[in-house]
Amino acid sequence: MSAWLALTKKEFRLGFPVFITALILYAGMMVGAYFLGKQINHEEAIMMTAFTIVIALHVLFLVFYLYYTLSSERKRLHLWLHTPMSIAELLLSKLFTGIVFMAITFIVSLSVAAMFFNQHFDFFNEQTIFNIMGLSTITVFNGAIWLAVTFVFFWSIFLTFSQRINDFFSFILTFILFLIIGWIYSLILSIGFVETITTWGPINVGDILVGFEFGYMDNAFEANTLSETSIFYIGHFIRDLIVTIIMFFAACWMIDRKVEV
Amino acid sequence: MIKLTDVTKKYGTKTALEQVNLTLSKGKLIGLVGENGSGKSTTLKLIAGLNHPTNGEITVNGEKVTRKIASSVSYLSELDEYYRFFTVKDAIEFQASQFADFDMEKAYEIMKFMKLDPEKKLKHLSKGNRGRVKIVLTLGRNAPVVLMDEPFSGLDPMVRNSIVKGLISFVDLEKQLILITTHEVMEVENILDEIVAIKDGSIIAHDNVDDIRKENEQSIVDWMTEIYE
Repeated sequence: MSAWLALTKKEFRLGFPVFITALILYAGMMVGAYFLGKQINHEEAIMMTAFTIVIALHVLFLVFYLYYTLSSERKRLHLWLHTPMSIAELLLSKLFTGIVFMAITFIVSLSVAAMFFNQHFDFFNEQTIFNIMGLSTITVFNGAIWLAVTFVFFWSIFLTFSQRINDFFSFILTFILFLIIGWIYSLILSIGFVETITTWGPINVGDILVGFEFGYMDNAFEANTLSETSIFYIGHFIRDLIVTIIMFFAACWMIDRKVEV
Repeated sequence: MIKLTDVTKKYGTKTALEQVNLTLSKGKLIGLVGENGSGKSTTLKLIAGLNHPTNGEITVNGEKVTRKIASSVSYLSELDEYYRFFTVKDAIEFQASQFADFDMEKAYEIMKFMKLDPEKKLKHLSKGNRGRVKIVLTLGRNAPVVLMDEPFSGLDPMVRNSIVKGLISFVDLEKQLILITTHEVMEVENILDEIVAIKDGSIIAHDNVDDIRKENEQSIVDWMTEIYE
């Protein structure tokens, strides 16, 4: 465990530039939106759009983080892979640090956004803030982790190809494979039998926030939340979780058995 | 201790090693010599479990080599790549955290011998000094097998000789097997016990260094010149 913790400490240092870049980008977007909004006299609308984009951008954070850190390791595979640790431990260390960095920028962005919304929009109350925070956290982190594992899976395929052919053709082949696998996966999901065995455990969530309604009334910016009752299925969550785990361990197997230094 | 049985390694259509059979026993400092592209680095990577043989089997202490052999094999790559944000001290501490057999005291002793500043960042070191750090990190481990791929390349020729001689004091030849690839044969021949010559992916000679000197009355360089002709 102490070896993994030391490795994770190294990962924090290796991935730190991505964290700083993301922080500067998010802060830049917010500050830019603030001054732009002031200039064109639509401060609230522009800020709200900027916050929404910043929160949504977090879905891509882990993918960029892993792209950066795995590309760095690619130059020194003789160091990264020369360890008695399993590939799963190596990758989990990267995922963990990425999630921690993402959580920090996410919490900061969400807190600033919540304070701004609270000050400027009267529809905000404790319930709405809880609703938005809870929903965006689940959606963003769920999406980011799924995308990250998908990226690691296809990165390991790319790396396997690149052992034999150059990077350009490896990328093209990996992309074609990505399209084929995505198409086959959607076909499998649409099979009635698969739908039947995965659509179970419905959870009714009332008044879930699904969006905002913007408009101008008497030259003043108006915003309201849009809510509806939705049904989530535990079966779908379990299905996605199983696929994510399979992709993760398939990536580990490829890096362990097919990737060479 | 290290055994390669009918090992072939191909990269696509190119054959790097062809039906190699080699047995290396512990307690020896062995030089693996050959021209560029002869298969020296591939041999070391295969033993380190970082490459996989196309055919044949490799064992270290009777254990079939996989990537996890890293727990008993210390490997120094010819590549000049490390985590550049580390200081020398960070690099030593990181290596110590990753390998149970890492001897911190020994590593600091080698570091002092190499005249390295522990507080200096690797990105600010010269190529030669980064090479010294790699030697510290590799020899700092008390692993039964130590593989060093061109450990002296980039080192200043004026200090290379003293570093080579100093290395011997940091190796426990009772317990360790050291396999070194190098082009600086003249500088290492005095510390080698055995020499393995490789050409076009095949082992063409494997001899005891003293025997070459006494029986053939040749220096290692002359011996090499003869077998490569």
